[in-house]
Amino acid sequence: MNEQTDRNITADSVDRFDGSGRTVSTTANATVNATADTINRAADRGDFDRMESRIMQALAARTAAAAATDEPEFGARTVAGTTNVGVATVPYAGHTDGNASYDALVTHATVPHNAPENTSADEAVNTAIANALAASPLRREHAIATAVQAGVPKRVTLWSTLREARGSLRLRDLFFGAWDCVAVALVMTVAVWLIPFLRILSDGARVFTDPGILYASMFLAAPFLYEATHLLVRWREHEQRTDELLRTMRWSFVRLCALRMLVMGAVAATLIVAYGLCVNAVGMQMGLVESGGITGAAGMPNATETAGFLMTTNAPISRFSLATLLGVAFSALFLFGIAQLAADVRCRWPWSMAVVPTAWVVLGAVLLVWHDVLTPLLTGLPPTVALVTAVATGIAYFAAMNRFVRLSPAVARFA
Amino acid sequence: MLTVDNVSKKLSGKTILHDINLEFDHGVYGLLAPNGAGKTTLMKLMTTLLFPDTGAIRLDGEDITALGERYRGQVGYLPQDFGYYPNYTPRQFLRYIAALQGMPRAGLDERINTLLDMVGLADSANKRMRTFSGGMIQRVGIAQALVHDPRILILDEPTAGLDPKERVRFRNIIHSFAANRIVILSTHIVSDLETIAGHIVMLRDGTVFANAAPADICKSMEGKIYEVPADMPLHFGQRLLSEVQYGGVTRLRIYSPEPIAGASSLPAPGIVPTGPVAVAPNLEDAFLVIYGG
Repeated sequence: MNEQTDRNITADSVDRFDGSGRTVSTTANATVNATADTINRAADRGDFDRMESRIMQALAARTAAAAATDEPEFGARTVAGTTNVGVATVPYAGHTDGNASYDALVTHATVPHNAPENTSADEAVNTAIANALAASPLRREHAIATAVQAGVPKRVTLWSTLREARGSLRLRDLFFGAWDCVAVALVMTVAVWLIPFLRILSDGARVFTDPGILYASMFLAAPFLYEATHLLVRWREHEQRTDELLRTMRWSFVRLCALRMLVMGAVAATLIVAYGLCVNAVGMQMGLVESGGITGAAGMPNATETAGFLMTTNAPISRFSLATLLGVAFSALFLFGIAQLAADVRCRWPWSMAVVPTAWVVLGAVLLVWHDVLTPLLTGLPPTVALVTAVATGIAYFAAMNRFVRLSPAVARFA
Repeated sequence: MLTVDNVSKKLSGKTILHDINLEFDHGVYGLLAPNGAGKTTLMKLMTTLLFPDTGAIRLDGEDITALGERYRGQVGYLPQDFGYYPNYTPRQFLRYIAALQGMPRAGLDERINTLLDMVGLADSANKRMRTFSGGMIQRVGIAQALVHDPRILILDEPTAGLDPKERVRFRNIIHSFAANRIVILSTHIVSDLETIAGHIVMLRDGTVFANAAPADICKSMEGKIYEVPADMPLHFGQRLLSEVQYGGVTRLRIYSPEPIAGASSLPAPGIVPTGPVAVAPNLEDAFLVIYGG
C-alpha cells in the first residue's frame, strides 16, 4: 500500500513536470488523498517516522512540480494549518540534532505552496500535513515529551550506556586505532596462561593433588587480558595524543572506556571458562580429576604412573575442582576490575595504570609462595561457595561500573 | 551564547587565567597572546578538558559542566597537538569521530565526502594517514572538528602547517561556517586573524587585555607607528617593531608614543621614503607593542 502510494506521488509529480499542472486529473487527486490518508494514519498510529517520510515525499513531489512550472516554490498565501507553527516547530524525536531537513519540512508544511492551478490538491496535502503535525494528540504529546527529554539531563547508567552504544557504536569503534594493542594483549595473555598449563602437563599429578598453586596462578592470571588491554590501549592513546580529542566527544571518555572494559571482561570470562574446561579435560585425561584410570595421552602420565605417584606420596586424589577454579578466576577478574575502576577515579595518569597491577602482582606472588596454606583453605571450600563468591564480586563489579559511567569528567581524575 | 564568567585557573600552583570574563556570540573570535599566556588553557576550559577553579562557563545560561554530553555534542575541537591514527584513512577516522559524536549513520558518507572535498582531501580519502604531510593531517583535524556540524568550533592553532593556499581555503571554510555559529581560534599567524576574526581577544598576564574588532585595536595605534631610516636613533619610549626592506634599503618600523617631528605620510608605491613616515598600524604592530617586540 505504501509502495503504491510512493509510486503514485512520483507519477503525480511527473505529470506536473510535463506541463499538465493546469488540469490535475481525478487520478492525481485520488493520489493526493491517498497521501493525505497515509500521513494521517501514520500520525494517528504514532508512527512518526513513516509520517515524516510521507510528508517529505509529498513535499519533494510538490517542489519538483513547482520547479517545472517556474512558480515560486512556496508562496505567501496562507491557508488552514499555518497557525500551528508553535507546536509544529517542537523538535522531533530522533531528529533533534540539527536536522535541517526536518526544520525545512516543518517550515514547508506550515507555509503552503502557492499553486493556483492545483489549489485543491495541494490544500488537501497541506491540510493533511498540518493536521498530522499539529492536530494529532499523539504527535503533540510526543513532541512535548521530546522537548522535555532534550532539555532535561538524562540519567546515565550502565544499562543506558549499553543501550545507546548498541545504536551508535560498533565493536570496531570501541578499539579504533588500538586493535594491535588488543592482539598483543591476547598473545601476552596466552603466554601467561600457558605457564600454569605447562606445569599441569609436566607435573599434573602434583598440581591436581595440590591445586593451591593452580588456584593462585589463576587468581594472578585471570585479569591479565582485561588489564593488559586497558593498559595498552590507554598507553597508545596517550602516546598518539588522541585521548585529548576523545575526551571532547559527545560519547564521554569514561563511558567509552567502560564499554571497552566490559567487552574485554566478557572476552576474559569466556577464555577463563575455556581454560578451566581445558584444565579439567587434562585432569580427566590423567585420571586425576575423576576416578577410574584412563590411558594418558602421549607425553602425559598414564593412570599407572599416576597411581604409582599417589602410592608414593600418599596424596589424596582429585582435590581439584573446576567450580572452585572458575570461582577463583572470576572473583579475581571482578575484584581486579573494581580495584582498577577505583584507581581510575582516584589516581592520576600514569599512576592509575600502575598501582593496581603492581598490587596484584605482589598479592599473587604472596599467594604463590604460600600456596601450601591456600590449598587446604580452597580445597576445603565447597565449590558452590566459590561460585557464589564469584557472582557476588560480579554484582559488585557491575555496580561499580554503573557508578563509574555516571562520573562527571570534573570529578573523575581518569577523565 | 557562550559566556565565560569570572573564570580563574591554576595549573601546578601557577595562575594561568585570572578572572576572565568573555562573551561569544555568532562570528569568529581570535585568541591572540604569546606562548604561555593561557590561550590553550582557556580553550581546554571551553571544551571541558579542564574545569575552572572559580567561575563558570555557560552556554545559553547553563553551566557547560552540567550540560555534559549535551554541550560536548555541540562543540567541534581541534587540539593544538592533534593526534591521529597513522594506520587509518581520513574516511575511517571521520566515521569514527562521527560515531563518537553520536551521529546517525544515514547520510554520513555524503557528509564525510563533502567535508573531505571541502578541506581538499577528496583524492586522499582512502590513503593511510601515515603517508600524509603535516598540512594534510591538520586538514583532517579541521574536518573532524566539523563532521557533526557543531554549533561551537574551537580551533587551537588551526593554520599551523598549512601552506598559503590552504590557509586561504581554511579562511573560506571558516567564513562560511561562522555565519550562525561561534568559532574561536588561536593562531600565531597574526595576519590570519586579521582577515578571519571579527573579534580579537588578547590575553596578558592571565587576564583579558583587549577584546575588540581588529580595526578597533589597530585604530588605538593610529599615529604611533612609523617607518624610519635604519640609522635613526630611537628615543625614550620608542620601540623597534620590525625591519622593512625596500630593495636594498632597510628601514625600521617603530612604535612611538609621541608624534615624530617632521614625519610625512607614506609616499606613493615604488618611491622609497628617506625620512620618518607615519604608517597605518596593523594587528602585528599591536601584538608587538602590547606583548613587547
